[in-house]
Amino acid sequence: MKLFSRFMPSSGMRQVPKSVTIHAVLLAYTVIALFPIIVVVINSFKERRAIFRDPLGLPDSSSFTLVGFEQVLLRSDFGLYSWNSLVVTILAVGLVLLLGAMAAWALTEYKFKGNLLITFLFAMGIMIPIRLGTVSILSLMVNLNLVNTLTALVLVYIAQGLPLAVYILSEFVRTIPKELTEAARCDSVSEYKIFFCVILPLLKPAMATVAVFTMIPIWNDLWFPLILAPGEETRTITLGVQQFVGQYVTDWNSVLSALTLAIVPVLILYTIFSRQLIRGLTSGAVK
Amino acid sequence: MTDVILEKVGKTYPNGFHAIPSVDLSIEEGEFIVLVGPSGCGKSTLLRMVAGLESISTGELRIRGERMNDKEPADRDIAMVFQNYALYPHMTVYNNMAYGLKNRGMAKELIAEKVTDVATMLGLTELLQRKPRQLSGGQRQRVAMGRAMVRDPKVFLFDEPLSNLDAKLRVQMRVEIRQLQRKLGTTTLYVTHDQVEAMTLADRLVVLNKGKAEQIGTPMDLYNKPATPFVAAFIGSPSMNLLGANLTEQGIKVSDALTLPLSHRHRGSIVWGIRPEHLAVSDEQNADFALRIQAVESLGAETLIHGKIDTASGDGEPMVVRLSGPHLPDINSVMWLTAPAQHWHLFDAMTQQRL
Repeated sequence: MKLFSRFMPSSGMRQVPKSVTIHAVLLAYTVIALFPIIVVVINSFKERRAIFRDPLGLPDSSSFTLVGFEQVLLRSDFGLYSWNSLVVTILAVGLVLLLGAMAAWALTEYKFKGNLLITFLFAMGIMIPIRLGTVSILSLMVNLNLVNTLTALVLVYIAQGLPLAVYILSEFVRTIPKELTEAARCDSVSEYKIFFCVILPLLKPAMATVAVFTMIPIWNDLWFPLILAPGEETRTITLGVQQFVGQYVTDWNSVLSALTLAIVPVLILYTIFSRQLIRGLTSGAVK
Repeated sequence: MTDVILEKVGKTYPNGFHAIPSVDLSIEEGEFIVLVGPSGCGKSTLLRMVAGLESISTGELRIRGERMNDKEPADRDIAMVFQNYALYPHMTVYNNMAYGLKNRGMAKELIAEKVTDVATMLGLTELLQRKPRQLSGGQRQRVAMGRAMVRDPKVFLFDEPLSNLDAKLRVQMRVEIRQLQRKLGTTTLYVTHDQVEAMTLADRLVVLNKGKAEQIGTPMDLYNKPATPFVAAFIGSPSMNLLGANLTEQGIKVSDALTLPLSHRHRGSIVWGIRPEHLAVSDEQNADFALRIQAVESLGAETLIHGKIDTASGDGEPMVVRLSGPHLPDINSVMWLTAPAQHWHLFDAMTQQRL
C-alpha cells in the first residue's frame, strides 16, 4: 500500500480510481511508443532467419548473434557517420538555441519598427514546412559551393528549427518579470550583459525543451542529407544506414544494429537536456 | 541643499493619455518624501520617471543640479527597490548585492568590504551564500534593500516595497526602513498606497490624484489642514466625514437636521468635513445633532460607530464616530454628538479648495 500510494498524485483515497485511470492510459501510451524501439533492439541481436521466424521473440542461445554489429562497425564507416550526425546536430541545436533566445529577447523586450513583421515571418516559418523549398535551397547551396558539406546541413537545420524556438522562447521571456531587467539597468548592466548574465540563465528550462524538440528531427532527418550532402565523407547516420537497404536484398541485421547504435547518442543528449527541464528556477526572483 | 528637483514634470503616453499633467517638487538632501495616492494615480509612473525607466515627456528633472531627463538609469546614481524585489534568482545573496558594484568596475576587496558592512547592518551575514528562493519574504525584502544600500547612491527609490509582506512584518520593516534612512541620510522617494505607511515614514508627503499633486506637506500639515476634500478623505483612518452643505447667513446648513452657526464671507455650496475622532458625545440639550447607530466596530482601544444623521425620513447622511476605549451602544439607538468648530474643515464645492 505504501509503495502504491507513493505513485499517487495525492494521498486522498477518493483520488485512487482517477489516478489508476491516468496511470493506465499513460502506461498504454508508453508501451505503444516503446514497442517499435524494443522490436528493433531485440532483433538486432538475432540471426536473420530468427528475425523472420519469430520477430517478437527474445534472442536465445541458438539465434543470438552479433553479426549485424560486426558488419556495421567493422565493414562500414559507422564512426564517421555518427561523427557527422553529432557535429551537425550539436552545431545546429546550439545555434538555434543561441539565435532563438536572442531573437525572442529582442522581439519581446524592445519596441522597434518591423518588430511585428519579423514576429509574423517567424510564425510563417512554423506553418510552412521547409521541405517545400528544397529545390531553391539546393540551387542556393550549389551557388554557394556548399553542396556535400556539413555547413549546408547546419544552415538548413538552423532555418528549420529557429521559428519554433523563437516562438517557445518568446512565451518564456514574457514570464520573466520586467523588474528584473529594470533592476539590472539600475545596476548599470549593459544590454548584452543583461541578456547573457540575467536572462539566459533563467531561460535554461525552456531552452532544454527547445533543444529536445529541435534535436530529434535533425538527428532523424534523411531528406536533406540525401539531397545536400550525399557524399561519402559527409553522410549522416540515417543516410549511412541506407547502404544496407538494397532494392532486392536488405541486410536486416546491419540495418537494425545501425539503428540500435544510432539511438544511443540521442539518448545521451536527451538525458543531458532533461536534467535542465526541471523548472522552478525563477522561483525566488519575485514575491 | 536641494537634492532633487522636479520642474513641471509631465508624462504623456504615445496613445495620448496624460498620465501626469505637471508636477513640481523640490526635495532637500536627506529628506524622506512619500508619494501616496490611490492605485492608478500616477505615483509609480512618477517614481519610474525619476529612475529613468520611463521617459519624461515635459519638464525637467535635476539631481544635484544636473539635468537627468536624457540620462540612462545607470548614470543617474539612483538605486531602486521594487515591489517584487526583483532579486536575480540564479545568484547568491552576496552576488545579488555585489553585482551592481562589479558592473561599475569596483575592486573585489572593496566590494567584499561594502557588502559585508551592509549585510551586517541588515542582519544578512548568515544568508550571504543562499539563493533568493531559500529566503523568506522579509529576508528577500532586506536583500533588495541591501542591494540598493551597497551602491551608496544619491537617491533611494522605493516602489511599494512592503506590500508583499504580511501585516506584522510590514510594521517591523517600516520602522527599520525609517531608522536606516535616518542613519544613512540618503534622500529617499517612496511610493505607497497605504496612508498609514505614508504618515509614519514621511518627512513630507505628496498626495497624488489623477497625476496631479493635490497637496505637498508634512504629515501633520496634511492631517490638520488638508487642501482639498480628496486629501481630507485620503489621510486619516477612518476617513474624514465629508458632507455636502450650504453656507448661508445662518451658518452651515448640512441638512434639515443639522445647521451649524458660522459667520463667513463665503456663500453657496461647500463641503463640510470633520474627522471621526473629533466628534464628541454630548447630551440632548448641548448636542449639534443626533446619530442613528447602524453598526459598531469594537477594536478594544477604540470603538468606531457607523450611523446616519437622525432625521424623520431616515435618509440622513452617513457619519463615522471614533471613541477611545470600549463602548457598546445598541444598534438603532440614538447618540447625541457635538462637532466642535475648531475641528471643522470647509472646502468650496466648486473649486474643491480649502476655505
